[in-house]
Formats: sequence, C-alpha cells, structure tokens
Amino acid sequence: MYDEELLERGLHPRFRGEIPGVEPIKLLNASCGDEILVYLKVSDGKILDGKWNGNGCAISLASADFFIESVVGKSLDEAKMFTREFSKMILSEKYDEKKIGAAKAMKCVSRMPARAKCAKLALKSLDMI
Amino acid sequence: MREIYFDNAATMMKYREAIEAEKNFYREVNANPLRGLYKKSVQATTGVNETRKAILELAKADKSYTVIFSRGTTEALNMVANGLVLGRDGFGVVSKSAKVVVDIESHHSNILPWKQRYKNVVMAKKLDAKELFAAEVICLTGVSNVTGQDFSKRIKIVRKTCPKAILGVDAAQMLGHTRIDIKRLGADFMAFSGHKFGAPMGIGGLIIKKKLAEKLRPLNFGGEMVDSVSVDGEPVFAEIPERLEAGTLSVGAIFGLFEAAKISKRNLYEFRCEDVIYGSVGDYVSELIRETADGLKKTKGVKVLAANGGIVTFQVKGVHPHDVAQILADEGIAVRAGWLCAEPFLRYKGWGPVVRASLSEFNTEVEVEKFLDIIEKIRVKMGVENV
Repeated sequence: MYDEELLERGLHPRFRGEIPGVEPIKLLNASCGDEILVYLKVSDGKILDGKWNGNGCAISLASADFFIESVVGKSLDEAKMFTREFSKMILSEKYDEKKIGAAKAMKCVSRMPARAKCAKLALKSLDMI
Repeated sequence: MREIYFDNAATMMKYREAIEAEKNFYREVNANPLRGLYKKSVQATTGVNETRKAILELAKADKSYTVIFSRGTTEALNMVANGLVLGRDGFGVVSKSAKVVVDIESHHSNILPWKQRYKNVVMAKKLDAKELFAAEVICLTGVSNVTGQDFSKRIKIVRKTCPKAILGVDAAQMLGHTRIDIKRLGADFMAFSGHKFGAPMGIGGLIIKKKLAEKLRPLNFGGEMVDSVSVDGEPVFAEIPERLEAGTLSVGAIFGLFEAAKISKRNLYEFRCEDVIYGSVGDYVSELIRETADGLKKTKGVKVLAANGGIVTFQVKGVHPHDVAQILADEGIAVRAGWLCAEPFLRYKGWGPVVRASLSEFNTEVEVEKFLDIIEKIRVKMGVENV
C-alpha cells in the first residue's frame, strides 16, 4: 500500500513543531478532516525555516514533512518549482525526479487519485504567503 | 478479487431489475413523456405516472400528496428551500427572515440549501421548545447517514410541538429502507434519492403535499412546465407536478426507480435470504451490522461510535480514518471515511473524521468476517500497534 518510508515519515516526522513569531498558514482538507498548520519563515524571498503541525492521514502528514524538508533554504521560486514537480509526480504526469529528492517516497500516492489532495495539502501554503 | 461493497449509504448496490428497466426504456421506448401523442410517448408518460404512484405508496402517502421528480435529495431540498421564499412573482410561503430549523445530525445537503437562502437558520441540537420557538420551516433528518439512527419518533414529536410549521424530512437514508407513513410522521414534504435504495443515480424527488407544491417557485423554468408563452404577456405555467419539473426528465432512471420502489416495498414486509425468512430486509441488515459492530468492539484499538440500521461508524486508534479506508480499499473492501458530509454533527459529537461501513441486503456474513480480519491487522500494518 504505502511506501515504508512514507509510513515512517508520517509516524516520526522530523519537522513537526512551531516557529515562535511566525503566523501559521492553516490548510484544511474538508472531505478528510485534515488540518495542517504550516510555519514558513521567509525573508528576502528566501525560506529560512519551516515547521508544520496538525492532524491528518499518513499521506498528508508525511507530505507536510517532506515539503518542509524540501523547501527550507530555497528561494520561493525554487520552492514553487519543487511543488510543481511534486504535483506532477502525484498526478502521474512526467516530472523531473532530480527536483523531488527525499519526497519521492510519496510516489506511491500517484496510484491513489482520491488521495492527491492529501499529498498536496501542505504545498498549498506557498500560494498563501 | 471480488470487491466487498460496504458503502451502501453513499449509493446502494443496484437491483438488476432497475438496471434492466432503465436499459430497456432506451432500447424499446426512448420517447419524451407528456407531450407526444404517439404510442411510445404515451408509454413513457404512463411509466412516469406509475412511478409517482409507486413512490407515494412507498411513503404511504395519500392523494393529498404528489411526487415532484428531481436529480436527487440535494436538488429536491434546494427546490423547497428556493421555492418557499416569498417573492414578487407570486410564489413562496415564507420570507427570507423566517426562522428555519434543521437538526444537528443533518447532512450538508439539508444545511446549505437553507443557509444560502435564509437569514435565520438554527441548527438544533435538542429540538426542544426553545430551539423550535417561532420556527416557520423545519427540515429534519429521517435516518442519519452517520449513525444510522431512525428519527421517526422525534419527527412526530416535533410535529406535535409545532403544528403550524412547514415540516420536511430528509429521507435520503430512509425511503425504501424503513416503513414510512408520511402522514403519521406529519411531514409536509420528504426529499429522497432513488440511488440510495437500488434505483439508478440521477433520479429522486420530493413527496410533497399538493397544496404546498402549488405555492413553490420552480427551481428551473423552461420546457414542459408551461402551458403558454407569448412575446409580450406573462407565461401561463402548467399545473403541478409538471410546473416544478422543467426540461426532459431522466425517464430511463424513472423506469428504474419504479422497479426499485416495487422491490423495496416488498422487502419491507418480507425478505428471504437462502432458507431464512426475515420480517423485513431491515432485520437482515441489522443482524449483519450487529455482527460487524460486535467484531469491531472485540478488536483492540477500535472504537465503535454508532451501530444502527445498516450503518456502523468507528475509529481505529492511531490510524487516520482515510488510512483505514485506504488499507481496506487495497484489500478490496469499499467503505467511506472522513466527515461523511455531516461535519457540524461530527464536530458537535467531538468525534472528528470517522470510518463508516454501510451494508445492504447484498452483503453477507462471509464479507463481514473478511472485513473484521483486515481491521484486526490494520494497526500492525500502520506500525501503531503499541499506541
């Protein structure tokens, strides 16, 4: 079913937490009941730090964690490039594997079309900055 | 692998007779009802009228009621909510400021049609005198799509408390599944979906008092609902039910609905499964639900939240409902997880998202056993057996 690495990441996330002084971006997945808060510390167009918190299914939790891991240290444009390629992977479209990194553990979601919204939930935060 | 279908509350497995009736309509009749004078059009008209009668019989509705077809419960409730608003066009019964009461158990489709059109919509938690005070329209859940609970008694009490209010029932999970006497319930209207009791998708409607239907503003304007249209003058609308059914109806689905209504009615009074005769189909399904709920209760880490009628709702500790549903899906078992289109109720109960298994007469004990076997392994599979 799920990739082992996805399950492991969902159960033991590395970037769960809060960043004091940073207003979280709230993301809801209405049909599932997922609620994810994304904290992105951005300065001069660069993501200096990131955390996430909340509740959800294994896919949305693991995805949030891989998202933070992938975008911290990147410029907003680079981060958006990552989310574009990530979304393509999830939607079974042709994507650039080099830009995905550790988040390739989420590839198994591409055979679960109804779960694409779970995998893409945390990514939406970039459009809400 | 044959899929085990435990999502009958979302849409019930279909009766073969209903599928055949829809198919045969297009193969052998395929004519527009009401207007054509040729034989096949008359056949279509007769089928539509016979189906209205079959639906009325299913709800024990007398001649003071009629059936207005719609795409389903959602459209039917929108039709009433929209049609009741008093307007300068001469339609409607109550103002937009009227107090409308729906129950907290409501499906989103019994919340949003009202909230979008009325300023004072109360989501009642107790349906006590205070919540019902001065209510002009009350629309209540017949059977909960979350808990399977039948609210017939509660509806009758509300009718007694509010004899003058317009009282409606969201019967999406009710019609065809329980013995209904619309008059004893005291309902002025009842919304239903055919696909929830074995008919094709895309057909449902309103069982509504004729006197009330006459006052409803049509949701759609167009063909079949008007007697005369002129360049300058006002249109002369057709009588009900046609006035409220603009455009060509989904007649194939209506022919399917007729069969489903006939079978459902029969099953409500006797149901045979192999050699066993049950007093009603509900007895058979309830027995399966009892077995499912008992098995779930014995499973470590599983919390059963509700088990009534054809529905058992539960959660697995440490595993999100969607992950439970995904694991079951991968094993060929279809269930529903999440808010079940009843977010206010699940929040009110403090449950959050849930897993729902909803069974029908097409399910068996063997399927329940397989379902329970997989549930038992879920926490190990997700690595949370020690949580």
